[in-house]
This record gives sequence, structure tokens and C-alpha cells, in this order.
Amino acid sequence: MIRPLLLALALVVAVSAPALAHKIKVFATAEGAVVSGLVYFPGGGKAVGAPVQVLGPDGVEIGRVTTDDAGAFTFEATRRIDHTFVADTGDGHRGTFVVKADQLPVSLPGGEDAAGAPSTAAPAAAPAAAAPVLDPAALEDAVARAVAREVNPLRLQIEAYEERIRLHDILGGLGWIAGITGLAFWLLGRKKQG
Amino acid sequence: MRAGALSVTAATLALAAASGPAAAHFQELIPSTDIVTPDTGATVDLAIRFTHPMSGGPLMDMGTPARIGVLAGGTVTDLTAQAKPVTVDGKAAYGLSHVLTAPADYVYFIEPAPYWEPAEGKMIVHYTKVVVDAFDAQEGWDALVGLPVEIEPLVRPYGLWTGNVFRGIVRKNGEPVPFAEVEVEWRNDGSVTPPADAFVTQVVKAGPDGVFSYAMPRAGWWGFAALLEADAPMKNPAGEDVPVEQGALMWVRTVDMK
Repeated sequence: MIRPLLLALALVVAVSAPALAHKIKVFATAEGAVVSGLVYFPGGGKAVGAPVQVLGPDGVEIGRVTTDDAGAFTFEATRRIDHTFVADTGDGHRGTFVVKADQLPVSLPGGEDAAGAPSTAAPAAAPAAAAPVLDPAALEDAVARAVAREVNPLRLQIEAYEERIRLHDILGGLGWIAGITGLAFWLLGRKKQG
Repeated sequence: MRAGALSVTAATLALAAASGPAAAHFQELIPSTDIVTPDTGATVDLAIRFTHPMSGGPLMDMGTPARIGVLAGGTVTDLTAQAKPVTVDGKAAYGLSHVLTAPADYVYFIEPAPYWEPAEGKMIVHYTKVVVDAFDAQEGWDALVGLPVEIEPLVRPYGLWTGNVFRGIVRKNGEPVPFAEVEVEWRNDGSVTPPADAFVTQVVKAGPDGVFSYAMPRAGWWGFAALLEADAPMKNPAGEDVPVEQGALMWVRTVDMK
């Protein structure tokens, strides 16, 4: 009677062991206002049916989602603020991931008023932001801003890269100058001795 | 007298710089980081050069790479068109920026254009790999791309301490190559002057099962090059049939324990 019970217990432990052995991780990206994420274990395996808490910059809970069979979840952002996604499997393992405000669309109301009354401030700000989009000049301006937002990090990266190459060239050139000067001195010194 | 000795040293250095070809050729495929986290950002910049890593150069001109790609989650993405030609020390090299969109291990690989080495009378093609772990997925680092010659890592190729042993299987057409010769070089940042030429390129041989191992004594990037001869010759720029050195290369990074 006791033996089957022990066996069953051993089985339960064996099945849940991988989760205990691993840290839990969260990853998320924003496409438009929709944040898609994944809860997983380093080294393999997805966390199925894991609760994910969504926190605002002030640490206040703004939502709650659960992962599907593939360990994935989605969450629709309603404000342009930092979102922290927290997965906690309850056994001391906790994974977090921050989706920054600047990854979310500018059309969403910002987080300046988040500290006060978040839900009432949001609808008030929305029409004001949406209206000017109909004006062609404003639309052009908005597109230019969006392009700049995407391109700027790339531009900075290219600049940094070019800077590195230039430094390389200079160091290489200095090396050659030192080497050739050394060779010349050596040849001169040999001539004097001879 | 002392000035004379100094001049001789300088002259020797100049000569050593000019006589680079004594060192081994290595195709470099070096990512800006081998471990991507929210702190590093999701963009990986790859520096693609053909050089002598331990001697710190010189570089050799690269032709347009035949193929550049990345294997992640069982899918190969072709990145050949995204590689940008760059000039480093006056030589043609390539650069590539890749944004990682999901947690996974990304196995980057390149099949460079064949390089004619007149001094050795052969064409050189170095199939080269490097693995980047994104957001702690730690899964997929041992996946094979399926290159004609390839190193299969037996050690997870990132998050390595200085002094760790790297092991791998040398494969040709998928089969282990018994007693394959593997050249090992450290990518010198200028801080090490080898006391003799034998230190520049370390040489290890695989066992009968094609498995080699090497303990890496210093922090930085280590290149492993299993050099094999291709089954078929290739035409050199003069149109003559010449042998082909097929290299299976892999790069790993070690970090000091502190």
C-alpha cells in the first residue's frame, strides 16, 4: 500500500524537477500597442499556464495575463509607459522583463499623469492626440518623427563603428612609422660601425 | 649601445609586421557580444575579416561572401544581402548588424569567397561559425548548420571562463574526421608578444572519433580552425587547378573569473 504511494510521489517529483532546477525568464517585444511575450526556462522548456503580472513604472499592477501552451502571452498597452512583466511560478523563481515606453506607439497617452488617476486621464488625452493626424502637414510631421525614431539608433551605431575603424587606421599607421624609423636608425648605426 | 639595441628591436618589429604570412590564416566572425541581455540591447554587430588573429594582422582582402546566415530555433535565415562591405586597414572586410527578436541561441555562419594564397599554392575557404545566446535561452548552441566542413561544439560555446576546456567534433560532409588537425589562435589585442613563432598558432589533433580539446589560458576570443583538404580542386585566378584548404572554424569567448 505504501510502496505505490511512494512511487507516485517519486514520479511527481521527477516530472516537476526541471522547473525547479531552472531559473524562469521572461522576454517581450511590442508591435504597435500589443506586447507579445514568452515565459521560458534557460536551457529549454516553456512555462505553460504561468501567471504574468504587468506592472507600471510606479510598481502598481495594471494587468494580469496567463501563458498559453507554448509559454506565450500577449498584452495590449493603453498607455505609453514602462511596462514590467513579472512571471512568478511560486517556488521562489521569478523572472522580469521591461518593455520601455519608447517601444510603444506615440499615439498612446503618456505616463506623466500615471501617478494620479491613470484610468480617467487616459481617455481625455486620447482624442487630443488623434485629431491632428487628419491634417496632412501634421501627418507628414508625425511620419518624419516616426522615421527619425527608428533611424536614430542605427545612425548612432554606424557613427560609433566608423569611429572605431578610424582609430584602428591611425594606430596601424603609427606602428608602421615607428617600425620604418627604427629600421632606418639601425641601418645608419650599422654604417657608422662599419 | 643601448640605442643600437633599441633600433635593432624596432627594426625586428618592422620586419615581423611585414612578414605576417608566417602565421595562420583565420576567417574572423566576431560579434559585439556573445550573450545578449536586455542590458546589451537586442542588436548584434558582427565584424567579418580575414586575418592572422594572434599576430594582430595584417588583413587580407575578402571577396563577396558566398553565403552568410544565422540558424536559430531550427530555421536558417539568409543574411548575405545585409552584410555591408567595409574597409579595415585598407583591406576589404564586411560588417553585419542583426536585431534579435526572440530568446534563442543564434548560430551565425559564413561561407567566404575562396581566397587564392600564392605562397601556399592553394585556395582557402574557411566556413566559420559563432554562437550568440539571446535572453538566456541557452538552447540550440549545438545545432549543426550543415556546412561541408563544420565543428560541432561539445561544450556550450558561450559563458566560458578563462582556463575552460573547449571540445568539439570535426565533421566533413556530416561525418567525424579522425585525427583532424586543429589550429588554435587567440585574437590578440596587442597585450601578448609570443616568445617564439611556435606560440602563435597552437596545434591540436583530434582523436579517432574526430573529437579535439584545448584549454584556453587567457580571456578573449579564441578561434578553432580544423583544416581539411577538399575532395575536388578549384581554379586559381590564373585558371590552373589547385588544391583547396577547407577550414571548419568556430569562435568562442572566455572571460576572467573575478
